[in-house]
Amino acid sequence: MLRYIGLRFFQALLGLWFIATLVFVLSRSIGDPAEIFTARNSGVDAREIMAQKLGLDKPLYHQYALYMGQLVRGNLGKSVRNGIPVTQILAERLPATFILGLIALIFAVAVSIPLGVLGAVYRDSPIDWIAKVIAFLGQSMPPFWLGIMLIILFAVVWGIVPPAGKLGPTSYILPAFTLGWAVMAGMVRLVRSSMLDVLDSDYVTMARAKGLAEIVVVSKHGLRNALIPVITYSSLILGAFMNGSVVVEQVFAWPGIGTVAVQSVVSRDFPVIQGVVIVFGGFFILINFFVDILYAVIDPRIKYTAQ
Amino acid sequence: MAEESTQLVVTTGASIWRLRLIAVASGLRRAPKIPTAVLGVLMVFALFGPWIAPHNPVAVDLANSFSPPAWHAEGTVSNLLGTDKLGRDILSRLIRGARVSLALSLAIIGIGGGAGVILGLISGYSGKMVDTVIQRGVEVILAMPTILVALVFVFSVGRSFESVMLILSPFVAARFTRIVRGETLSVRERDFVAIAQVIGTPTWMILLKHVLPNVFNTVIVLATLEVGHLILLESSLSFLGVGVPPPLPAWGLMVADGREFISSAYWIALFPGLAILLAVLSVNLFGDWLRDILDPRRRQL
Repeated sequence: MLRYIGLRFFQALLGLWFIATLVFVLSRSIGDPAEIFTARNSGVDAREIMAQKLGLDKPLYHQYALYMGQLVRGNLGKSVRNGIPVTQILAERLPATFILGLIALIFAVAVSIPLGVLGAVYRDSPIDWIAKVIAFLGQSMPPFWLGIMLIILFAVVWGIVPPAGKLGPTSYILPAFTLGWAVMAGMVRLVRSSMLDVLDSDYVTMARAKGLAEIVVVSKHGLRNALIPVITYSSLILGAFMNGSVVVEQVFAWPGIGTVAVQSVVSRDFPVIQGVVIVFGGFFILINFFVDILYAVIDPRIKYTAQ
Repeated sequence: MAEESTQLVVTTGASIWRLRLIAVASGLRRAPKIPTAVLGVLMVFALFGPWIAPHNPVAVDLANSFSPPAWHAEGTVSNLLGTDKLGRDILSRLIRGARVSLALSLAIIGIGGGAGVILGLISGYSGKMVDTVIQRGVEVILAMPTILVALVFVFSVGRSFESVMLILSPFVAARFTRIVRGETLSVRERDFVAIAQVIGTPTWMILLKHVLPNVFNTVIVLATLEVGHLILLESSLSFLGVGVPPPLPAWGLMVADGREFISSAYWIALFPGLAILLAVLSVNLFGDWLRDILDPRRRQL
């Protein structure tokens, strides 16, 4: 087990290193680094100071070591637009992204597990049909478009909720629904199909033969095992969340990390986008790491050693 | 003797292909009609768009801007689905956009999927060190947030068809590698592979003639489902402003264009989104059906 954790940890570090290096390579290959790390109309002096700071007069491996040294110390530089440290910008924006993601996750889980289970238990019934339609529509609908359509309907036409921004509790409804919806579809499908597999298995037949009540069979023997694939695919689900939140935040002008990322692309604020990619990527990798370990704890069939 | 065995094994490979062709041909008649039809129409749009579109999709006509769809009182039949803020015809842009979406998705599947199949075959067949290295690489790629990485990459190298293609291909390759490797692992243990090894068939020949035909069903199903995934991903990138550059009409970009005018001109954002939904839904339904006939074990994907 310890070996397994160690291996996964090493992989997580490798992933982080890869992202950081990718950002470094990009920052050195798109033009004069001194220019992309300073404000657009800053003078020659500012650029020279930056060049000194980045070590541009030194060989590339030296620059790389400098860059990595700064990263390890948690120094992500300053925004070229307003001079605020990138870490401060990220710290301010992270809670909004996190809360939105959490509400969306709760919503997605609360809908998809019952719907997937009922769809599998009452196969080909109306509820199964609803589960299938939701699964297909959800996986095929572009989240940014769904968000805009919801804004038109609920904010512009009916005026029930604010169209954008984070203004009081009602403003959470549309973005959380949009984000949750995209993730929910995949989960409904996953729960339904793995529940179908489990209900076909011998131990479920055995449980029924023992005379257990159907509700016990479904919830205890069925659902518990059916949830394992959900954890297996949780990195894909998490990926859908990350991708979704960048897009959804942009649609609803949500003051989170995703909006910062897109804004900094538009205003060519390289230090900020570098920080967002590294922090967001690091977070993503970290969660994947914990999920992998959780998975090994839950399912004793997993081999702890690498094949 | 050796030659005879080779002959025998090769025939097995060939007959697999023939059987598969028969299965697809007879199955195609039972294909879901509406999704197949929608995909057919999309293909026609992508191939012959310029001859079908009623207007030039990039022609600016400011006098005719914000013209509503034909069923509104002020709408005209000439601009069936209305025009955008520059007076460009929405329908013509949708038709042209089909080519952008499909060409990009297919190019990425071709490059990423092709690389993924090769890496998956090698990884699954060779095992040991090579397998470990490839699989660790795959895990690193799969553990990265696609949109953010694409965002910073396209931002750095500039918006173009090629840059979107270049950055999305590795993600597709990683998914293909993982699944093809899994299939290869089980095919590797089969008798016909052992026989081919015994008679000294070169490894590349074994992979090409004995393993590949047996993992091909999975590859086809995966490729189909990935098309839907990629259309969504590409349109999200376009929406965020890092997709295919304007004035080429990418569907995601058209939705983004319509965002400012949702209270006055809903049709600018509505129709391109519907086009994405319809295209992806059709691809997914078609892919699902294909999986049911070709690869029934993989229901969960």
